[in-house]
Amino acid sequence: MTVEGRPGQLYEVRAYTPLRLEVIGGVRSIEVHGDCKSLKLSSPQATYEVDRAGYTSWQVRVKAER
Amino acid sequence: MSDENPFEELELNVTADEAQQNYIPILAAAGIQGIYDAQATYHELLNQLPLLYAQSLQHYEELDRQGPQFVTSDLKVDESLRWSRVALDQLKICNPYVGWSYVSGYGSSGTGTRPMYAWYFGEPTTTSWAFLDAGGAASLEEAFRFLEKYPRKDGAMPHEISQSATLVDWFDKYPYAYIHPDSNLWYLIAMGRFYHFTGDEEFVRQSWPHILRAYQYCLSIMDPADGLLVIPKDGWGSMELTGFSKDAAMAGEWIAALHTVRDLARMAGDSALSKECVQREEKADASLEREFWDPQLEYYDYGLFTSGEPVTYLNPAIGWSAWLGSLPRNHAQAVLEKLSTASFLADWGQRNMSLADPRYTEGSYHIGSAWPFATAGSMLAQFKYGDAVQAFLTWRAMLGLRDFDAPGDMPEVLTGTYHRLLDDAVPHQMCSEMMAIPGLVDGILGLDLDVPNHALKWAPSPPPTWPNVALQHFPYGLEKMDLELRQSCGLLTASIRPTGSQTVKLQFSPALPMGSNVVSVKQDGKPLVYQVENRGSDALVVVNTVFSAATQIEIHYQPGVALEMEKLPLLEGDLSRNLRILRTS
Repeated sequence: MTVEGRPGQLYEVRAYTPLRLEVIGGVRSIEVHGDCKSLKLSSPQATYEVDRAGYTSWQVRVKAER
Repeated sequence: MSDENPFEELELNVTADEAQQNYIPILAAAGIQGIYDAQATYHELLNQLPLLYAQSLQHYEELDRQGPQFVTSDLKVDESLRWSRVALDQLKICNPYVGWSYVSGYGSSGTGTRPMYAWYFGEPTTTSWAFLDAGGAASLEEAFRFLEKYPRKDGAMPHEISQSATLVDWFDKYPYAYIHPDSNLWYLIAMGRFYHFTGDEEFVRQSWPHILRAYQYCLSIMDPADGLLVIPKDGWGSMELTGFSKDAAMAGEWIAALHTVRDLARMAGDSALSKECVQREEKADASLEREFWDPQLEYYDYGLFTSGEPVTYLNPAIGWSAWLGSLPRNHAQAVLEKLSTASFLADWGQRNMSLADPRYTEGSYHIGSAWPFATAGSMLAQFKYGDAVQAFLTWRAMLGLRDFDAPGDMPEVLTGTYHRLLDDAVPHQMCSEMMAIPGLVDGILGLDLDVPNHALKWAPSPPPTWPNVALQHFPYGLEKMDLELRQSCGLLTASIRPTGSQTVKLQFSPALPMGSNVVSVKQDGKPLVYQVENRGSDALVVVNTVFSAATQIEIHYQPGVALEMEKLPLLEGDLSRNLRILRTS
């Protein structure tokens, strides 16, 4: 996924899936609640480059395995 | 009242306790000499208060009960959609001089301006999806007939008609009645939508002379060299400013209007006109891409100045062209991705200019604000092109605006940078309702009726947290249908219960979670042939079948991954802070 967010802001994207998810990049952690996996996201850059909206973009890469 | 202070103030001091224990009616009566006697009206209101209150209550109960019912897994959504029907209904007025129709909104006129949007616009045409989906085909008919009373001699359809139109020389001495040449385009598009949705051939045939004149006006302002429309001098295109000659968003609307006239000409038996429209559409398509698509920016230029120089402004109104199906798929997707960026999309809607553009002016009506109506086009297109995760978050955020200022109504416009209404925004605006019910019916459920051809397309992308969603008593021509979608892990069930027995061709194409593997598709227990298109963000299953009675389609699948974003709450005055998902694959 390509996402945009505010630097320093913690975001949550919920993935509804029975598959096992493995983080490749762009995700701080995954909390598993049965088939609902909660992906905690925040921008990974150490020095943030923000646009005029104060947002920065990054890639979220997660591998799903049956 | 004096000219210096042309208003009077009325102050009521009522405590919360008093308000809970007493019924405090507020009556207002105004008159027109010889037609309405203000004093008599006031006394009639006062004397018949209980009866009038009961009649009003009955009216809203019937309005709520008689239209289609929207049943989702979210009670707040259901409530907001019920209020949408009320908000549209309350815009109907009667001006004894001008006629019955729908005004565009209500808001304070202050001390020296017009009554804001409380006069007549062509807006029911741009809001036609909302009227039809809400069960308001008859309302749209009234609005069509009203607009058809006031075309200019050359066929230009009215954009706006003042409440005083018959008291001044409104149509000749003021520029506003016909300032928007795209009024003709939206009239034609809405008429096509009405025809396919209702199948009411008789109504459209009665309108046929007006349809032809509206179309011929478009031809009269068409550049024969490229087949695109030229905005007349001092006229407005998709942006309400002068100085432009061509407008890419208007070109997209023209392509959609040609598509409509093609279909209506077939209905009217005019095959020559139908063929002509096909050729014009092909030419306009090619011209839009050749003249305005910028491969470096992966976006369309705004258009041309009257000098012929290109206007390098990324206009979000092109999102409507994506929704209308006027853009190539890859270009539509590129446009929508850009419109999802935080520079364009605030947490409360689409900005009319990107924050990245140095010309952006915070709080400007044209280049520094966010409009629910402008948001609707791109949001609906996102559902269409598989960006349902972002589209759903936008839709939920926009429904929240119904509680923002005037509870029950949708506001006209907010500022671009801060979560608050523009200072002179109207709190109750017709076209903003395009966000609400169409967001469910045309967006999430992807319903597309073609009653004259006995066809129905149903392309839903339900959010994963909704186990069920249903439309009850939804109109299908003269019949009604109940449509229900239920989902659990690995199973999607669609049910249709028509009141009639006509055979309807159904294309059912739900979006399953990305990476899902389809195991079987069955209709009433019998296997169906299906195709799967992996769109990256989802897996689209496509089946073509028919039904003539209650039927059920079950899709069993090995689930992939369905996403939903958490929505961070906002207070008035906040900056945007929610996540944007630009691409999922």
